[in-house]
Amino acid sequence: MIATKPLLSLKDIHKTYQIGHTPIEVLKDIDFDIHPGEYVAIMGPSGSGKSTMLNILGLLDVPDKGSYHLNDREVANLGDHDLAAVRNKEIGFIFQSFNLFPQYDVLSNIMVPMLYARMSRQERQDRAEALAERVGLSHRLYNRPSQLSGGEMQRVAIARALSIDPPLILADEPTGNLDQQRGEEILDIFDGLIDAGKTIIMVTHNSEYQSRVQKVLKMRDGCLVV
Amino acid sequence: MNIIDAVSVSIADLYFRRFRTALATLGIVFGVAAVQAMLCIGEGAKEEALAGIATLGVDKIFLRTELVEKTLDEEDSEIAKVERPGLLLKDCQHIRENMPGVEHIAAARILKSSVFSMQGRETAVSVVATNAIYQQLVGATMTSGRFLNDLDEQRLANHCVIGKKAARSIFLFNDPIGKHIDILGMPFTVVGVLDNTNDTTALAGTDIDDVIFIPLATAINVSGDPYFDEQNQPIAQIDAIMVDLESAKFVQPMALRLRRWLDKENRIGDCSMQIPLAILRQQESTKRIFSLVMTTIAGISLLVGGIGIMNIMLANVSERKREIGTRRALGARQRDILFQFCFEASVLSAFGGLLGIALGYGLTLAVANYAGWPVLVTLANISVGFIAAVITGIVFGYWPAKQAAQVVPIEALRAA
Repeated sequence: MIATKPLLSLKDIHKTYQIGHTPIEVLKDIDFDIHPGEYVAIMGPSGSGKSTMLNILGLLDVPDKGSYHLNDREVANLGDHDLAAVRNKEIGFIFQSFNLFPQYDVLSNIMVPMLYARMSRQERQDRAEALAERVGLSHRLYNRPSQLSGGEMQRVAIARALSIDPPLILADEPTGNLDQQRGEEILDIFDGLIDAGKTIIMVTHNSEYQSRVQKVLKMRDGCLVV
Repeated sequence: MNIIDAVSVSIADLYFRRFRTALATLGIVFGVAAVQAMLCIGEGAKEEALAGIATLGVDKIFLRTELVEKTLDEEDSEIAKVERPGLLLKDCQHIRENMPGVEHIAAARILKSSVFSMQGRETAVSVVATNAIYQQLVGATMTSGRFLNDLDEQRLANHCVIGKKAARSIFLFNDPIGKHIDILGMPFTVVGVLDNTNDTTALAGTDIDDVIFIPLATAINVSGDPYFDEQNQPIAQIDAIMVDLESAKFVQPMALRLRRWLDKENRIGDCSMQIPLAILRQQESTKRIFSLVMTTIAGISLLVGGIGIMNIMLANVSERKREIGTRRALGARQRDILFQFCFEASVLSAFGGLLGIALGYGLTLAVANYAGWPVLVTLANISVGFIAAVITGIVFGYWPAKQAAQVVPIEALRAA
């Protein structure tokens, strides 16, 4: 491993959920660094804490304890305003069920994060078209999600995640709703992103993907297993 | 997000659920239509009423003899009916001399007489015997010649002044000045023709354009009624007294004083008092009640419309939780979500407001055409409805939008 400064580093992260009166410790003593350009898979059985981990990494959830440095900045206890800005500019989200907006066409879906970044109309348009081309959807710009296949929808979601050019991509089971071939296509796009210098953290069940990533974080019962 | 982006985002969101949007808008459409029609019709009615009252003259009081026959003895009512004298000429003098604020005062007799032109044609016009001051009292102007003057009265002259319409029906297109007409079986010389006036109330409903005026003293003389009593008081009966006050502020005290005086003389039933100012006040308060009722109805319609909007927006929020979560993940602040949903509610209600204005305008025109009511369509009337709609949208959209903003992202993303 090259000795660069880590892109993100988690130290002693704990997260407990209260279910009824029973506290459930979902994450315990999580400690790891991820460097720029790394391709990481988080794997583990259901209920092992993968999703919570991804939510914390994506700043959608806050840890009870521990510190989270992203790009040299403590982000574990930011306010709504700053959290939104970090999510917008430094993290790209890709979801298992795509989470596209059914009321917008492909181009407008890709533009949503740019709206929150207050980019000009022209810049949004140009970037969205370029991104659609990059994921091979130039011919689908004005289609609604309901007119697309699953693979196409996930490619729109990837274009959307890339729209602010964030260093970190978080993908939650990105191939979970796709067949083998479409899943492979998505992973091919991810390979291209890694080559372009992005950092990808992907939660997956599929052990076949172990060979395609650089680093696997295995989780069991809220802990990392080496 | 700037305003244009926010509007286009809202329109895309609303258009996606267009059937629901249309339903949600209905309440607002009817509310705004009600507000607008209410304003246009109400304002129109008010305008007309005020214009009508203005010709009454708000600084005048009219007294009229009531020809009631009072029963003195109930047991033998056939014989005991006594006709009360009503107003007398000396009452005029009493009012002028004893009550403050009188600018002009005139007495009148309304005669039941046939009028014949010198060619012997009978014409259906009224004859009013009055004083020279009557002209100033009602502000009448002449087309030609002069009005009656004091000399006519002193000399018991057989002079008359005729209204424009009466002149036309008696003399056709000939110049009436200097011509004679037959009134009360005597020839009268026309000395003047009155111009058109709007005054229709000074003589309680008589159209002054269709009246012939003769000197009051002449009329009393011809009738053979005694003019003075033993104390040299003018006791001739008259039908009306018209009082023009210096200003409207004297109206109320004068009315009180007259009533007290008539009451003291036990003549309260002998005459009726007509006070245009009081009628105006009465009409104003009726209008106020009408406006209040209409405003309440319009307000309730808008309230119902607002509740409709709130209902739909709450349904939108719970249905779009996953969208909200995704937006938060993509960088939306709570404020952005709040703003988005508030904006949607206002665009929704503004759209309803526009439709409501169209419907309200149609309603107003329909009322104007079928009922023949006066209506007043102004930009102010139209914008009140529209602004009320947008405010309703914001007020009733705020709470659902707040719910949307407070959605926890991870729960929202888990939502199906």
